Amino acid sequence: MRRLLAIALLPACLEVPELPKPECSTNADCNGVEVCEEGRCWGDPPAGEFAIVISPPTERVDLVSREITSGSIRTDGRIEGLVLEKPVDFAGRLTTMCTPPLVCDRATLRASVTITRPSLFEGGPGFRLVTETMPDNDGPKFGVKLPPGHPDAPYVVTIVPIPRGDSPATNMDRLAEVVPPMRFQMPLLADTTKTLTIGGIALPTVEGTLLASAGGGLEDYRVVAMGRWEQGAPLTEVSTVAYTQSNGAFRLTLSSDLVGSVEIVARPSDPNSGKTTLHLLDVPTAVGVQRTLTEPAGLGKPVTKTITIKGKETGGAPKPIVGARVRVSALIGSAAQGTATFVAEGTTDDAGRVDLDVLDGDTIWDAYRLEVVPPAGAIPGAIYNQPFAMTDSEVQLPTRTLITGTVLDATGAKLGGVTVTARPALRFVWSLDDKPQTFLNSLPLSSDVTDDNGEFKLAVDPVIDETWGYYDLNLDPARSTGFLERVPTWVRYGVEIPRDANVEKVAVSDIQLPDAAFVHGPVVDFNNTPVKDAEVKVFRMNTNAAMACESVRNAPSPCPTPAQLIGRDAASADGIVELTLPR
Amino acid sequence: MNSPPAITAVRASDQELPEPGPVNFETGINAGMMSVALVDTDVLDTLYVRLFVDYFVSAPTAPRAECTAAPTGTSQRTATCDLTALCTDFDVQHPQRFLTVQVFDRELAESGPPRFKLMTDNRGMTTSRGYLLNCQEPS
Repeated sequence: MRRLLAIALLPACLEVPELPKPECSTNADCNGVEVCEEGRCWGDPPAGEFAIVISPPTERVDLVSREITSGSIRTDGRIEGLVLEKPVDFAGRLTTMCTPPLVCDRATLRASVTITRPSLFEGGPGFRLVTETMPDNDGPKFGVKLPPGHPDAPYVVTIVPIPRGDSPATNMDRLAEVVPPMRFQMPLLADTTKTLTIGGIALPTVEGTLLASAGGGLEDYRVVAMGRWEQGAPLTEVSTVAYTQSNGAFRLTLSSDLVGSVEIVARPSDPNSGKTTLHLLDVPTAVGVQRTLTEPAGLGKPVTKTITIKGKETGGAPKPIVGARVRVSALIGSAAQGTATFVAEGTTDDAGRVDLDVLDGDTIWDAYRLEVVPPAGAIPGAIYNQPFAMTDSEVQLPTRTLITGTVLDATGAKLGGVTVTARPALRFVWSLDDKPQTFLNSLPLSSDVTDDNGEFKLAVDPVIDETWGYYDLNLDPARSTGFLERVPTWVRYGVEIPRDANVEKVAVSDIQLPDAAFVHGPVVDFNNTPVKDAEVKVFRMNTNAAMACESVRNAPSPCPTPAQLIGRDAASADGIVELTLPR
Repeated sequence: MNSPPAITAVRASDQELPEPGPVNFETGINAGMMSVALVDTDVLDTLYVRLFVDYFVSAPTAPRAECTAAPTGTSQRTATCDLTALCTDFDVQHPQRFLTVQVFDRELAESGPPRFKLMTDNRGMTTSRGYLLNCQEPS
C-alpha cells in the first residue's frame, strides 16, 4: 500500500513529513515468514533466481562494477555476497605500423579504447568502458581497472585512432588518417600489461575518387568504410578516414579480420553544405581495391523550404506543433551503381514552423520523404518515411492512440504517484526492419504520473511503417531515499493497440501491483569495508521478452532479451542497501 | 518560498556519472536506464527531469527523455529515465554532443521562451548537470 503523504503543513509553507509508523514490533506482526527488525517486516522474497549488479560510487576509483549471476536472498531478506571485488589492472601501450611509403610517428597517435564484455547473465547490462590514450615518450598508453575476467566471456578491446572529425585534423594529429581501428579479444583474468601494434603492412585498401556530376573531383568530403567486426553486428567505421581535396582522390586502409564486404561512405565535411552523401555498397575487403563514386546529376541548388507542422489535440482544429523534430531525406541511385542521400532536419518553433535547406534539382525533387518526431506525450503522432511533395508547406500529423488505465496497490487501493511509461514492446520493435526500428527507438517515450485516483493516460503511436504496435507499461512508484515502500517496480507487458485506425483510446484493465518484499544487505569492498552510495540493482530474467525472439521476424540472432530490473537503490552511509522487490 | 531542487547523483547502467564526462551511451534498446537522485526540501513538489542533447537558447531542442519523481513526503527521491531515445544515428556520426540533465520543480509549459524549459509557474526553480556525450552504435 502506498504510504499516504502524511504531511503536516506547519505554519505557512514549512513542509514536515510524519515519520512512518512501524510495521511490526515482533515477528508475530509479520506474515509468518518475514522477520521483524527495526519496525519493518523483512524477507519472504519472491521465488526464483536473481542476478545482481553492484556499481561503486564515483569517488571509489579503486573499484569497478560487478555482476553476480546467481544472487542469493535469504528467507529473512538478507542479501549475501554484495562484495565489490578487487579489479584487475589492464595497461596497454600502442605502437604503430604503417604501409610504406606512409610514415607513422607513434608519438602523435591518439586513440579511443573501448573495452566491452557481454553480460554474465541473460539480458544483463554487461560491461563497457571507454577511455583515451595518454601521450608518452615511448608511445601512447592507457591503464584501466576492470572486473576480473571470466574464461567463458573474454573482453573485446576496440582501439580507434582519433580524431576522426568532420574535417582534417592538424598536421600533428593525423594518424587516424593513416592507421585503421583494431579489435581483439582478451580474457584478462589477472593484471595484464600489453604492447599493442596498430596498423599493418598487408591490410586491405580501397583507393578511388569522388567525382562531381559535371566532372572533376569532389572536394571537402570525409570518406570512410563501414563494416562489421562480426556477423550480425551493426555497421561501424572500420577504416582510416580520408578527406578529399580538389581532385577528389581518397585512400582508405581497412582493419583486419572484418566480416563480409564494406560500404564506402563519403559525406560532406560541412553538414550544412547542401551536398549529398555518397554511398557505395558491397566493396570487397582486399588489397588494392579501386572504386569511383560519382555524384548524381541534376541535384540543383540549396533552397530554403518552410514547413508548418500541425496536429489535433483532443478534438478541435489542428494547431501548430512546437518542438517537433522534422527530417526530410532523399535517396537516389542504385545499390549497384552507388547511391546518394540528402538529409535536412530541424526543430519546429513556437509557430510550428521549421526552415530546411533542401536541393531543388529535378533528380531529387520528387524523391523526398518526410519523418516527424513530435515531443514525448503529444497527442499528434509521428510520421515515418512518408513521401513528401516539396510543393506542400503544411503537414498534419496523425493522432496517437491513448492508453488509459488505473494502478492499484496490492490491497486494491488506487495508487497515486506512480510514473507509468509506455515503451515499445520487443515484439513490436523486432517486427520492423532495421530503419523503422531505429526510427521507433528515436521516439521519446510517453510517460505520465498517476493521479490520486491511480489513473494515467499515455499517447502512443499506433502504427509505424504499417506495423501495428504493442507496448509494455513500466510502472515506477515514487521512491524516496531512506524509506521503503510496499510498492514494487512492475511491468504490464504487451498492451496491444487495436488494429483499427478509428480507435483512438485503449482502456487497459486495472493494473494491480503485487505485494512487495523488503530485502537488505551490506555492500563491502574487497577489504570488507562498507561502500556507501554503491548502487545495487536486482534483475530477473524476462521470460515475456524471451518469447518475442521466437515469434517475430526481425529478432536479432543471438537474441539477448533485456533482463527485467525489479529493484534498485543506493547503499546508505554505513553501506547497507535496502530494496523493495515484487513478490 | 520555493526551494530549488538539487541533483545529488546521476547513475547509468553500471556506474555513477561524474561531471563533465565524457559519458558514453549506445543507441536503441540497449541504452539502459538513468537514475537521477534528487533533493528538494519542498516535499510536496513533483520534480520533472528532462534530458536535452545540444540544447541552445538560440536553437532549442525538445528533450530526448523525461521522467518524473512524484512527491513521497521526503526530501530525497529518485527518478528513473529510459534512455532508448537519448542517442540518434546523427549523434553517432557527429560525436561530442552536450547532454544536460535538468530538474524542474514546476510543470513545463508547452511553448514560450526558453522553449522546453519554461515552467508554468514563474516561481519554479531548476538545476542541471552537464556532460560531454558520445553516442555509439550498439556493441
